[in-house]
Amino acid sequence: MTIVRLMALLTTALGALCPVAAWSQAAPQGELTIAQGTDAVTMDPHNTTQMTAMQPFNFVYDKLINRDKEMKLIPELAESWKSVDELTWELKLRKGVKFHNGEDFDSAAVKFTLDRVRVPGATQVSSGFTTIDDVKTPDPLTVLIVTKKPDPLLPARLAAWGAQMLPPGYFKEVGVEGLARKAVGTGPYRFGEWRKDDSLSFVANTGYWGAAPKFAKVVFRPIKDELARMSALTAGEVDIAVNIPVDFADKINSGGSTYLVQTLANATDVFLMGSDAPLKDARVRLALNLAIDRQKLSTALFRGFAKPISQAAAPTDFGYNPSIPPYPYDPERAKKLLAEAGYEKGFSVEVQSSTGYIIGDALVVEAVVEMLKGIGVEAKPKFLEIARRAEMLGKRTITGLLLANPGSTTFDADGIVWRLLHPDAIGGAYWPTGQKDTDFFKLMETARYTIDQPKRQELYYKAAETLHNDPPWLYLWQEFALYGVSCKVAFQARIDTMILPWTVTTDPAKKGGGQCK
Amino acid sequence: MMAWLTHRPLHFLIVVWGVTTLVFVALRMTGDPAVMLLPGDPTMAEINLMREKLGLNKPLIEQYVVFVGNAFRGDFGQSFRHGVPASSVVLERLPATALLAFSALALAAVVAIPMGILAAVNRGRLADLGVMLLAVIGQGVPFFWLGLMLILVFGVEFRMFPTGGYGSIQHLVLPSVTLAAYIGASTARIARSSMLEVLGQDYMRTARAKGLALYVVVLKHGLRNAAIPLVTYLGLQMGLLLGGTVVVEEIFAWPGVGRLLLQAISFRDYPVVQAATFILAMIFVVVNLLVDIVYTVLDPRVRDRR
Amino acid sequence: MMVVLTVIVVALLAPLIAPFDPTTQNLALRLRPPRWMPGGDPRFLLGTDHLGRDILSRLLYGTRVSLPIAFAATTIGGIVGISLGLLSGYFRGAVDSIVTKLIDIQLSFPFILFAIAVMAVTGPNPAVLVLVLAARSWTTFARVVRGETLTISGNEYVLAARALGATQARVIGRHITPNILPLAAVIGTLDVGALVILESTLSFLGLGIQPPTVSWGKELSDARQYIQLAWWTTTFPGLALLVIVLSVNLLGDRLRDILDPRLRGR
Repeated sequence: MTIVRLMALLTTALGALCPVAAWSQAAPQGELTIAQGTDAVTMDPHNTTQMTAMQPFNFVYDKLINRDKEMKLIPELAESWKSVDELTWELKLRKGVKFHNGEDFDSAAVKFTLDRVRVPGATQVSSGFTTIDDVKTPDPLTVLIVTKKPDPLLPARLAAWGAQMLPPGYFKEVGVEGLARKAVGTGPYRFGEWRKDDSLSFVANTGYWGAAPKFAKVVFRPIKDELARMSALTAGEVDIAVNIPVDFADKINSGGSTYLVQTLANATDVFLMGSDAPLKDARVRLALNLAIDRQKLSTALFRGFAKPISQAAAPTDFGYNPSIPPYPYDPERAKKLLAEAGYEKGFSVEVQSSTGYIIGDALVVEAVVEMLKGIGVEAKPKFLEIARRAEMLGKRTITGLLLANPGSTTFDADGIVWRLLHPDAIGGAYWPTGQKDTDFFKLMETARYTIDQPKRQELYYKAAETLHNDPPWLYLWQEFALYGVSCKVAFQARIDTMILPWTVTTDPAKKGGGQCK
Repeated sequence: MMAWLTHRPLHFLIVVWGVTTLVFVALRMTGDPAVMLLPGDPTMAEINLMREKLGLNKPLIEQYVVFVGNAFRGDFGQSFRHGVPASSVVLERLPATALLAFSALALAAVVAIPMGILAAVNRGRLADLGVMLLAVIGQGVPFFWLGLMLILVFGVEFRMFPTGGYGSIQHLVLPSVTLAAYIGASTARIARSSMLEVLGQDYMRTARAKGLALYVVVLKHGLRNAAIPLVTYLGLQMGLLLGGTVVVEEIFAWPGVGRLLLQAISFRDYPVVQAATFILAMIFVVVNLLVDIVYTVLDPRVRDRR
Repeated sequence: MMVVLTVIVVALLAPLIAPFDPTTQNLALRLRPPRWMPGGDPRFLLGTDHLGRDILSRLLYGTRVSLPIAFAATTIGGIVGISLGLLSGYFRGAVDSIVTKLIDIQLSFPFILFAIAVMAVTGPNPAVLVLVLAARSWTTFARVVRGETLTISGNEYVLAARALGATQARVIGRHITPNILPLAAVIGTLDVGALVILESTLSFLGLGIQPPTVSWGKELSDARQYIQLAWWTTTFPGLALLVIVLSVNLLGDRLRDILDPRLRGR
């Protein structure tokens, strides 16, 4: 005990003497505390789809493939992967990796994990793995994944939510319930203690196969109220606070002990258009898009932390067509289009959203209502309880406009165009242009199963043109994610809004950009 | 007395049954947990699979019969969100809520009751006015706002207490003060008025006339008699208190049942909501039973009447 | 009393005296401080909120929502609570047993769950909010009225009236109700204040009044984020709430002193 203490002291002292050398090979030390709105709900990585609940998994679990900060796929537990024929992907696994309980990580673990998540309805993440037909394990370090149809996005799926690798032995021993209570993975941190709704902590895994963890302990704390969350940051109780409201950007930057980190996020804000008769007319849908002054709203409501979009996919997705600019703000042309469609006196429509789930949702609804009134549309704000909203989405019973923030988890237009605009999907059910056997329907089906990347891109560019000229939704902007960060740490935000073990360091050179004293 | 002892628990059993049944029906009238659990873009097939897995595709009556049968054995099913038994999800968070509620109640009682008595004894004088003004302000300020102000002043500005969280006495101070202010204001008013009533009684006048010192009269005779309505009132406050904890827990990131309940309702985690309401209703009932007993001990007339 | 009257007058005249439409946004003029502060805009006496709307106008219009909702809820809760309390206290037996069980169920039922369930089924609107608040308030009336009725029914004049063959309805209507009403009036006034606060707490939980309707509670809860950045956005609605609850409560105390015979003269 004393000796360990002494050693720790010595290390710290040495670190103080020669900071650079100590930095490059420092043993994990100190604590990192991250405040999010809500707590984790389970330690079973395959049985939640809530963003904040999944965040801690990044510290304790590994996936076969991950993404670097440009969102390019990088090896994690798989050292390499290639497509051997149209239907088969071959992965080579990293050697000598062990789970936290000492179990070996091998192809059997991969097969166990993928067989678990690909059964429809068995877990909450199964929708991401429906294309997998079979998983074969020729030897402990080789995995063959056979898909039902050609699937160009399989590696991306293995890097997305729900692809965390589980230890089969542990699962057999403790069952689903045991896994829900305690996480065992291969990640850089081990499960520490979980005091529900108060703190979830992880401790450094000194035997990690990759770069050594930076902190001795990482703690997640749920603080729902935004003001309380920022107060905890200012008071020095937490090191990173997520979802900082834009109005606080300056305050966070001016305190001297905290600074703001920002990034474009993998989510676009749009209003889905429901089954009302006027919204069936392409001219009306275009008119609504022309009635919104996106630039003004972005500046006034979000201080520019919102990037106007012109099509369904986000500018950061593969297949986004950069040659299409956002709509101009043109209320006159909007009114003309309405008149052409037979609505010169306007029509009435509900502008709906929940409150507190999408950045600035209540403000956006109130502002959009005012702008729609500007072209004679009788817009009415309506706020929905969150489960009510989910029910409208799920049962395809949307009427009026409904605020949503879709994002493609594969960073590919496929995740928006095919997944959301398919005739029976939540965003495509109401759109005449994309129904079965239309040109657009054929286009997205072809694009989905094309393995050749340039050809796929061409197809999505074409789709984007249709989506701009005949918009299924009212497009708004791509979101930003804002973080308040303590001057004690350096933090690199990512577009997937994930906080990963290696994106937070104590590297003094990367802190704060002059905001720290 | 015996008849009373069997009658009251029966009454309370019916209350608990009524509450849980109401919750069962109310939950199933709104929202669909299957949609809440799936990613943002579920297909109809995925939704139906999930409903089947959660057992929501069965007829309502069948679900209810299964629910009541299991509830009798203390089994509320697996939480939809957490994947562990709902009763354990609730019980894990109960100590935090109990701690918060009792310390707030104690704080309110220790501060507000003497203040109420002080006001009653000094009726119409400055002390009375001051106490009443404080009480009315306490009732006129929404306590979520008071809580946020306390965070800003004592958490951020002076750094005297943590802004939120759980685990030490320091963590307990701001939340329990906020909650105590919420119930303390009305407690002070009730204390004042019941004391006023007692002070007006003949035996009090007699006691004063016998030359006993004011504080002896107040403490010996007055308090005992004024305690009856006060105890009843504080017992009733349990319901209010548990409602108040929802807001306080939300602001101070306090890991209690209130915050859990709010989330479980949003996500339509039926088993957790049902377990939580059952347990809360049981607590309410037990507290009321205790209040009844205290009442009987304090007031012989009630005992004889029953 | 004067304050309450003033507020009622303001509520009636709001459209005439408010300088702006309370929903008109001016996004370029967000979070402007009050007129007398540096940076204040002379058009906005009390400054603007996070959507550039005039706070004074919103406060004036807020009077038309916050108070009427609380009054309406108290009235409905009062009517239900008094009737049930009367029946329960007068007839005792089975009726009493049912009513007391109802009260206990209501009290041990998590109010928040109740509010969410109702709001989710019907969608949020002021009428529903009134009913939800009324559901909260009837128990107080019922408990107190029941207790008083129990006492009064035992009085000699009531027993005499019954012995003389007065119908039940007549006994309740003529002999008991008039003795109950003053007490109910006192509870009612005190309840209005509590409900105004409760409405704002529901707003904090996202269950209260929905835009474009303006209420003080909603203002206060919406603006809480801006406490540090723009104190005026929370301070004025907060003060308005405080003043009205204060005066309604004082009114209730005064009423009690005048109406409650047991407290009279002391």
